[in-house]
Amino acid sequence: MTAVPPANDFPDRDADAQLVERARTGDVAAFEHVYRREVGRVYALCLRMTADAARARELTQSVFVRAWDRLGSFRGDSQLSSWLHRIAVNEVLTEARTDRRRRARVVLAEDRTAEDAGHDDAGAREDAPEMSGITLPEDIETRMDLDRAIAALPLGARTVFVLHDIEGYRHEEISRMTGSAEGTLRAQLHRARKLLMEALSR
Amino acid sequence: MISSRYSARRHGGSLPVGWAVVVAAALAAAGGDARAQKGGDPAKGATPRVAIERRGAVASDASIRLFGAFSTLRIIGWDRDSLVVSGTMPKGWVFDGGLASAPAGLPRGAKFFVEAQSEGYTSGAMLEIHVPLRARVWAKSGSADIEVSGVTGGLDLNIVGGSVTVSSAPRELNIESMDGSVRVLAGAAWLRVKTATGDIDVRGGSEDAGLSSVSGTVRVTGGRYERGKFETVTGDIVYGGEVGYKGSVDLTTHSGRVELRLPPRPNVELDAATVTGTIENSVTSSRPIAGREGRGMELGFSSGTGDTRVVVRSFKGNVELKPR
Amino acid sequence: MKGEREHIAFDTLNDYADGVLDERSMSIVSKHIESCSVCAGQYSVLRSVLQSAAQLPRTLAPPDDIWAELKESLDRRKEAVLPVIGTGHIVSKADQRSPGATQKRWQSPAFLAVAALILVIVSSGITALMLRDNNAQRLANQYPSVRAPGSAPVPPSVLPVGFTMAEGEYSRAIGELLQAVDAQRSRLSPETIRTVDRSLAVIDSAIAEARNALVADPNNATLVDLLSASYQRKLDLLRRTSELSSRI
Repeated sequence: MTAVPPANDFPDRDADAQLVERARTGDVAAFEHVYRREVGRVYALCLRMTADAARARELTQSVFVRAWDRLGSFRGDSQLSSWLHRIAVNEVLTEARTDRRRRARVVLAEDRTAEDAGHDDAGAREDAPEMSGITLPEDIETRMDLDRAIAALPLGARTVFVLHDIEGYRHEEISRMTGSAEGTLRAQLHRARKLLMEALSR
Repeated sequence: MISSRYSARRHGGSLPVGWAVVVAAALAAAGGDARAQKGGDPAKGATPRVAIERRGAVASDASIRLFGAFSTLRIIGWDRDSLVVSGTMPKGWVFDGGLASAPAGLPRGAKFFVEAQSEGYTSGAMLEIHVPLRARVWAKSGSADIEVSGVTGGLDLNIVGGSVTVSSAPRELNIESMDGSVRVLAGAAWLRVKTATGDIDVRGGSEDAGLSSVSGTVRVTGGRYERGKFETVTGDIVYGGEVGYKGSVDLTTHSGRVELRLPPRPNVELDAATVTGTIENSVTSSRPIAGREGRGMELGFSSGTGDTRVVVRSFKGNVELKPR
Repeated sequence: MKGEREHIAFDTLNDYADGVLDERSMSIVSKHIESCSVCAGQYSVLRSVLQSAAQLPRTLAPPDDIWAELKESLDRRKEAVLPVIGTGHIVSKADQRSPGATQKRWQSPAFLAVAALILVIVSSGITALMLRDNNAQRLANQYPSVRAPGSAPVPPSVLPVGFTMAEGEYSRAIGELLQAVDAQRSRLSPETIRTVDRSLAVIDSAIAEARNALVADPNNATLVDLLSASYQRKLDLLRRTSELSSRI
């Protein structure tokens, strides 16, 4: 995966407002500017949450189409990039929930145990002695290994890890977006981290 | 009109062995639907009534059709390969019909109709028909109260107003009503119920159930629905069927209230979404989130084994998950 | 616990790494880590994972430039308008996806069928045929998307792309049913007619609401499902009404 530096590191709100205004009138060129600036971040989010490049590509397109349709609802009270990012998170979560063909399950409810049972243990628990054999591999900081390990996480754990530890959302925000209790999210997050630690130490 | 092979008059006044006819000659054609409404009979006081009785041997899986101006109809399945129609109707009306011709073996069909003498009558024919258990019965009237028991074959019941109550568990059950209410007490393998304003109350489960009403309430309590599709436009939907088996239940409404009654720690996979309505969950810890555009709500969770999939879609009706 | 040292629970270690413990707990954990190699090692690994995660690039380029495809979608959205019944002219055509692309829900046959039926409601003649003139006018007043006979044409509405000529088939089916129902009116009781008219008005109201919502939010799969269900109720009701006075 190739990192793409954003076209403008510090978009200002006035510039955003002008872009949105022009795009609202049907100015596709103005919207392209928004696209070029934000596509990298949107795609990164979609890819990390779905762990599927084809779906991520399709979702990225959906996000921008939806943003185009909903330009009228952008009020300028948040940054355009934040607004777009929330649309992206919502699209990914909605698609995971409602895609019947893949029967994807959002494993975030704290009373769900079946999928957890399919993995090595039931989430992060008080099991400190098990971790004593872990040593730091030389290349633990290799981004490719970590991205690959994240992609291998179970869906619920991956969702929370990406939103919290990579994208920086707080638990209360993630709780609102996913409909899961904060306690559940905390348990899922700790589990994700434990699985990553184990994967990267092999 | 009735096919000649079903007309008793075809036989020159004499009937096949086993038949007894106590009915007068033909009158004008009936209106067909809800012209036979309950209402005052302007010209008469208490109308004298005449008795009806017909009997005959039929095949155990015979197809029996009954149409016309009956106000009450009881359909009773019994363990005999014979058919008995009995009851009363206003004097001057016509009850006609008969058995299908059968070159060999028992007749496989029978057809009867009741014709009113005029429109607007206080009460129509009051009939009771005994049919073989595995028979298939088709009945159509305007405003009528129909009760069914013991029939395990098939039932196709069509009323405008009145009520339908089915207490046996037929293999196939199709009920269509406009205003009339429908109660299915023991389920049916294949079940379809449609009303416009009539309430629908179903218990007993089904392999394949489709219940729909425009503004009547659809209530499903008890039983296992392997494939269930319950829909209204403005009517409420209450679902309290079993969960925890491999099945799929869809609840769809435009503005009706949806009440989903679940046991504690239910084995369900839930997918609920509204466009502007609210969602409340008093059963599990999952909380709904804001829907698209910040309007409406969405709630999705998988609880326990998640075997039963429940999908709820509402435009502006509110959705409530309540403990059973 | 004799002879066995207690270690920090993994959950607690995570909370420590996130800085969400209270001051006293933070101090206890911190002191323990200084003196316990096991927990120190675990904490070190955890911190590395978190630091690596924080250093992951926040942006990644899609494998190919999707702008061209996206632009095509946006251009079509700008141009998509409802055709007026009777002209037979479809302004927009179905979105042609590139091979291998997954069909989107709003391009599915079910959605196209619903889209076709949406046009029926907008058409002036269909609803007026079912309802008497005063009812049609009432409906037109209440639901601006429905034309009363003789009124001005409805301005075109922007709906999702993907409509095809299939909409003509659906409008024909509903038109036939409405004609059949109209032919039965004289044979139906006033009560039945009232029930049917009332129910149709309820359904038409639901259809109009869902349709307006779909115009505002064209990618909403829930709305597609709901609109489809309301149309099915209408077709069902019209069919049953048309069969009410039929004999065996």
